[in-house]
Amino acid sequence: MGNFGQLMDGFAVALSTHHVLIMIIGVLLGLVVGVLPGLGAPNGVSLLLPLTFGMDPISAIILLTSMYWGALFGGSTTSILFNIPGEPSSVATTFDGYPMARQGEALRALTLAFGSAGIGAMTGVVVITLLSGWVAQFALRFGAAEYFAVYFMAFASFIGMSGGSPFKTLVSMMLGFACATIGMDTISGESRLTFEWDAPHRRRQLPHRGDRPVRPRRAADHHGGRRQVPGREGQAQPVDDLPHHRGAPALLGDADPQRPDRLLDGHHAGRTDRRLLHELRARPPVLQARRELRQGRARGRRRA
Amino acid sequence: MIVSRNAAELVTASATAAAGALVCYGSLENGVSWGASGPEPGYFPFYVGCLIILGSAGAAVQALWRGGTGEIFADGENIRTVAAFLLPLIALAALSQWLGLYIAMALYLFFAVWLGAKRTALSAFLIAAITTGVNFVIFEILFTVPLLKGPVLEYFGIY
Repeated sequence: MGNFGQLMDGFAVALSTHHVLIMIIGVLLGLVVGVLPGLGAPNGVSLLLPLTFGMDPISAIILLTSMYWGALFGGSTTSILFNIPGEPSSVATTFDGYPMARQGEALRALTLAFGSAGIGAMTGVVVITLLSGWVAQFALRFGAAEYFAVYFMAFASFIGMSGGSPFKTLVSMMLGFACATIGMDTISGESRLTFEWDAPHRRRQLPHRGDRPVRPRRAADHHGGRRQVPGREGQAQPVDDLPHHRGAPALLGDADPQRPDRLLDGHHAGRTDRRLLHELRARPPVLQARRELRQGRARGRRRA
Repeated sequence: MIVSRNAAELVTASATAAAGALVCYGSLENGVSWGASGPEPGYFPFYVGCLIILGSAGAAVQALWRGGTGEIFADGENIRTVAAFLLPLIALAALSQWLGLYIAMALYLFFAVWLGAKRTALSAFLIAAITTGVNFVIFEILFTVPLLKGPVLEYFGIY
């Protein structure tokens, strides 16, 4: 019962006035994110991350988790009112929530959804805390083959249980798969199905870890091989097509000194951020830092 | 103008088949065979594209098999309703590429509330301004996620 004692300790920490206020803010923010279709709970959490930099760790985690659960409930609002799930997790709410709303019981449906989301989240947290050790042992045995089997069963049952034509279900599912493959391949790092439309933007971007000129198809003379960091040779030359950035170095000289590192972290996490380029044009030392970073990574890889 | 169900099915099937062919063609650029270190990047999208084409062909055959049932997919009034919703959305997407997301959002909301929902111009303006402002605060300031700005906002130094 060690887990249970720790859970109670957690509640003791979380249930202070300050933290409960943060929970309310987080759930409200989560509602906003959850109502928007396409912006799911994980996206919301990653959007909220910069807001938590200035907070103490416990408050930050509480804000992020409340926002997560708020977003999970927020998805059911649109399911009930418009029959459009705002989240993948609230698809099932459309089955009975929307008919209730049509009968004029939208308020009751929303209240029930909120209550059940709360009870479900609470039960889930308690159960997962008590069973986490056992579940982790099971999860470790879950490999690639098992994942494939689970996904295959899910997609096969979509086709088997579809009401109309199975061909249409197949086509719409595969269109979704095709959309998911657009962009950077997570394994090889190549850009797929972009038809070089990303090239004009990429010219202004850092060489990504995926831009390896190894494949003969990406001939060096055609694409210029590895893309150059803008301003590496010239060291912060003003770029002609961005005349209003010329004053940036002086402005950024006073900016938060940690900012380039933070932006670089975002870049390594795959987020593209135009402000990073402004920083890089303004601050040659950042390029040096990046080179060190890469060397550090190369060393790490060799060791591994 | 009346569109029969069969015609709509056939047009949709050809459109999805064309999308599948595009996916196949695009993945050919990445290599679709099994390389030395496992499947090449285009391997999975290529077969996904093939399945799209196969499924579209199946749907088209089903539609032809059933023949003309005289079922109506959309008549003039339906098409007008959908166009009144769809065309502004396309305009929004095109405008946001040119003027940035916030100005396009404000313009879209203003005209949707004013002409679409037939409210007064003042309330339309207020709704558009407040919604755009709230979105700006949430995304740019709270979440610090820069969305597409466009030349007008950049001229005023917001980027």
